[in-house]
Amino acid sequence: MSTDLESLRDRALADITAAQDLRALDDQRVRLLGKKGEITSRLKSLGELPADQRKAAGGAINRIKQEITQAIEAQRVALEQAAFEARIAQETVDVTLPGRGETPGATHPITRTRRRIEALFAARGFEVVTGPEIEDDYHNFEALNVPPDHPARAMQDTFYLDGGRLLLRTHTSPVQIRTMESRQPPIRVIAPGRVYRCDSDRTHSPMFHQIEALYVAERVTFAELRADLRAFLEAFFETDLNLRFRPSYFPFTEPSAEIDIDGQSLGTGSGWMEVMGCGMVHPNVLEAAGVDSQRYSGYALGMGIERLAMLRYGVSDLRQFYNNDLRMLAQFA
Amino acid sequence: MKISENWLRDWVDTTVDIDTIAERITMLGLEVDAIEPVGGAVPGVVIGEVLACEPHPDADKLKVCQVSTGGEASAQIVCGAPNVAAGVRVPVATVGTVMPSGMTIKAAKLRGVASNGMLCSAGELGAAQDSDGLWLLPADAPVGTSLAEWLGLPDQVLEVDLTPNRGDCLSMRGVAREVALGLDCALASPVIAPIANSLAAAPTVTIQAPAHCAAYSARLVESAEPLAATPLWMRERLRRAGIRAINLAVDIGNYVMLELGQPMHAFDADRLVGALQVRLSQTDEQIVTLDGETVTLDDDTLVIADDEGPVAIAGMIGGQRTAVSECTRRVVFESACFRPSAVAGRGRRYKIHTDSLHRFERGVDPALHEAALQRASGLLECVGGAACGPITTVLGEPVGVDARRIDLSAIRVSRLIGQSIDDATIERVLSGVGCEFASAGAGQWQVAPPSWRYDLAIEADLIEEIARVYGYDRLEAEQQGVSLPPVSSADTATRETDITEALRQRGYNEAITYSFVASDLHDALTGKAAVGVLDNPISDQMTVMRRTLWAGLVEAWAYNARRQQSRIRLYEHGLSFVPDKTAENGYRQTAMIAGLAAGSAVPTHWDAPPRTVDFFDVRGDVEALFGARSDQIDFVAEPHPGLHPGRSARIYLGSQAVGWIGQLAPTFARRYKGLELAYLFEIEADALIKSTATRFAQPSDQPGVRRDLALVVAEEVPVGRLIQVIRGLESPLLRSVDVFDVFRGQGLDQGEKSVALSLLFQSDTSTLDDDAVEGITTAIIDALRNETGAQLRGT
Repeated sequence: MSTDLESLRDRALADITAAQDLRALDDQRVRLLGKKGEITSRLKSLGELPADQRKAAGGAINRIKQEITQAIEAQRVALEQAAFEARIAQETVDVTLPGRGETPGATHPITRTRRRIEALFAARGFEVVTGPEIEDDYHNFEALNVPPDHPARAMQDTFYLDGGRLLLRTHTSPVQIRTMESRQPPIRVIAPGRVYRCDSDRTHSPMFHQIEALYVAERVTFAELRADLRAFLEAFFETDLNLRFRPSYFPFTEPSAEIDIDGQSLGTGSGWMEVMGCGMVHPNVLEAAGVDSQRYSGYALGMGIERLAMLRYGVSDLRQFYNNDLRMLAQFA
Repeated sequence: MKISENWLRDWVDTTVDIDTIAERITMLGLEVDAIEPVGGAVPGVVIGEVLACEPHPDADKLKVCQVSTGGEASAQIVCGAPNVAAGVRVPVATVGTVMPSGMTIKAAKLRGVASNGMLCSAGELGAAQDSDGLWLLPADAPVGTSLAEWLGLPDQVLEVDLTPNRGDCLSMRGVAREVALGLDCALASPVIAPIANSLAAAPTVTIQAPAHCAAYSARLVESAEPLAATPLWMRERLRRAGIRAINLAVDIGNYVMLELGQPMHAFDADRLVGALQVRLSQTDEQIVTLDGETVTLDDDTLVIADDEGPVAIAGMIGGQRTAVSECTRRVVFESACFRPSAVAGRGRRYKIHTDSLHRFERGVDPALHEAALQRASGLLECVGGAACGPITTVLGEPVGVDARRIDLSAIRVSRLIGQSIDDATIERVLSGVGCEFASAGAGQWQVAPPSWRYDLAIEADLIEEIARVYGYDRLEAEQQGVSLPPVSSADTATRETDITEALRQRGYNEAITYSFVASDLHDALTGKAAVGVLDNPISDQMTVMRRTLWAGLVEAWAYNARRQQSRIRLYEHGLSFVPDKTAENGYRQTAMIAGLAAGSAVPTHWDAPPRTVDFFDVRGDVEALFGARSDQIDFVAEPHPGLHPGRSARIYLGSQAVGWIGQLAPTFARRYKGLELAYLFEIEADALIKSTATRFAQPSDQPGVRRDLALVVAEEVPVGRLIQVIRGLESPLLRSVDVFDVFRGQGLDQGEKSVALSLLFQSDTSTLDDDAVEGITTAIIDALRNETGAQLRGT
């Protein structure tokens, strides 16, 4: 190879390496390999050489051309890589910075618990019904087989309104009466809502929530109530439970029972915990609401939503449900 | 009801331990809340006698006593009790005794004088809640004997939580019956022998209100000396049942009540004037009761009266004038059956609650009065050495419990409880609870419940007896599977948790606040609108039934703001209570959804400037609640007493007013010092429930044409009015109107603003040509000019 060609090659390779961006590199490519480029010109001028030299000279130039082409390609790859890396570096974010936008709020734990209970009963065909909270004595007591001055009234300290003309419902049971007054069996309803009793401490609130279920049809039995309740409680707490069905008294059911859960089976400690009351709807209640007690029987059950929420979420003071502290509410989002 | 184990074991013949007994009766419906040891059983405490009692040389309030505890030598004990004196017998904690408080008695020097033991009060031994001074024991208490042994300890007390239907269990006999039923063992009733009449005199009694009093028995009992002290065993049994001993006649009455369930009363016979009458009170008649209260009676209260007026409120409490005292020698015992209706409600009326009333309210066995009287006079004869006269018994109208006949069928038993119970078991239960019954065919009976069970009135009551004795937990279910039609519901959101999802997504947390609120706050929020007032509020902060949910939310806001919460968004779902004569019971009870927003408009973020929440944040939240129907609601500036006059609006859905939105009125700044006043909204929940299914509209494939208008209009013209005018043209091609700028200042006159609107036109069927769009746009501009005076900007 002639010194001339060698120096051309060395210069070309140096220029290619010196190109610091794709545009500069392309300029070099045009200068060397373009239509009027140095290498192209040399190839074109081969014809001017004597025939016996043409082959050797052509071979030398083509080797250099190939070498330069490869160098350009290598530099292009290197430059593209560098450009890509520069872009990435420029686009890199600090992923540890907090995200943007709204943090969704929470349903209140009482509502959350209520919805769980409603859903479990809804799956069994129970329809959600509601009723007024300012009630009359008839729906809250008399129609439920609690006449005036009945000792059972002392079980529920009642808030009165308008000089004793009205009261705040002490339980959701009036909704049973209102439901049976307006439709005939078969009836399967669940009545959630606020109830009121004149009492306040760690485990009593003057306002709290109950859910009442009522099922009236031909041949509803106490044993069925027991089976349905066990199924419900085990579904609610998502565990097998040791339950007891303890005889009790409510004026509006006969027989009546209270349900106790063995704290050990729930993992909340030892001892029986009362969770709800239930029983077969008293014939007087069915009749008062216009349901034939000879033909139909029914079960009713009622539970305090707070009680179940406290057990499930580990809340120890009932009053915490009502101060609406955002630090508490946000835990249920 | 407190039941002493030792006493109970006199009544039931069983060796079963107390925990099992408690478990068994709990599962029969007599819930045992606790089993507590009887106080006073402290090892090391003996009965001592104070032989000598001298003042302490160096302390005014201390005495130095020489105390005999039965041994040869006496112990020197320093004592500070005011009632210590030579000759008294008291419990002595000897050196080494560990007291219930945990303190160990040691030999010590008190102000330089040696003291070897402690003289005890009942309180210190756990035998009383509190006590002033030493526990003075009777003069015949055996010195040197262990106090616990002498008291008959150890013993335990069952705390039985009785339901109101089981008045029959308000006695040892009643509880023992259930224990015997539960354990299937024998009941050992004490034999009540009639006491012979050794006196001639008998009380004269008339019943003038026979509907209220089924039976009244009375007997004169006379003692030569003033009545003796109540014996220890009786005092102890009373103590364990939670009743204070008073004097022998009263204590015997209480003892028989505890034992048999018959409330009794003792009159001092020498203070009675004339015959006893059982009658209704006269209006404003007065009686001074045993506890010294003067009670003014109405005309509907049963009393026992003599010639000088009432001597007792029947079944509730005796009068002071005829009360038995320490000097009483002649006693008239009353043992009566007052009907529940005769006493019902009177306790609350007169604010009196006694053990006697508690029993009569629930029903006292009408077959018991004479036997109880025999028992009481027998005890007084035996303990007090008294002589008895003949029993006077006068009957009124029977209570009817002994006339009940109930048909019972085994088929109906299995239908109601869901399990077949064999006839033998049914009959065993009926006998066990004390029923008389006769067979009325196979699997059928006619049943007469016992006179003490007022609660057994219908067949379902008997079925409960069978079920509870058989055992609720032994009942196995047969699934019936009644098919019910599916419940239809509105097409979209129907429950408040669905409706409020939009709020939670926008950062609102659900609050639950009380339905009763403080009246001053509520008045301020509602402009003193009429409101339901509680007769008996539990606190002065919870006196009125809310018409608006804001009262609770505002308090929850203040609570959180004072705990450094910088961004508060709360909503609540609940009823509002509006007095309304046309509504049932005079109150319209409407489900509302209310919200409150205060503090930062956006969560704290490194890339967003902080901004305080404003009207439009909250309006956006309200619009989100209405979802796709947000274009059907209007916000109209209207004043509200609780809201800022320039930042309040009534919310209309179509023509119907459904709620309010705005900022708390500036007057609340005084109440909530240092807080930026919150924004509020409240909407009727029903307005948010879409009751008809969406009718789908095919989106147009034709290209839309957008026209932007910059309008200059007087400041007092609300932007909403411009949109209303545009919509009022009802152009079928106009698809949407958006406000994209509101500008005041440079290039505009004072009192003017520039409003930029973006209009989108689109046809369902064809590509719009410029002429059509121009035509509509011109019509819009003309209408705006005519209706609102708006001018295109730059013209």
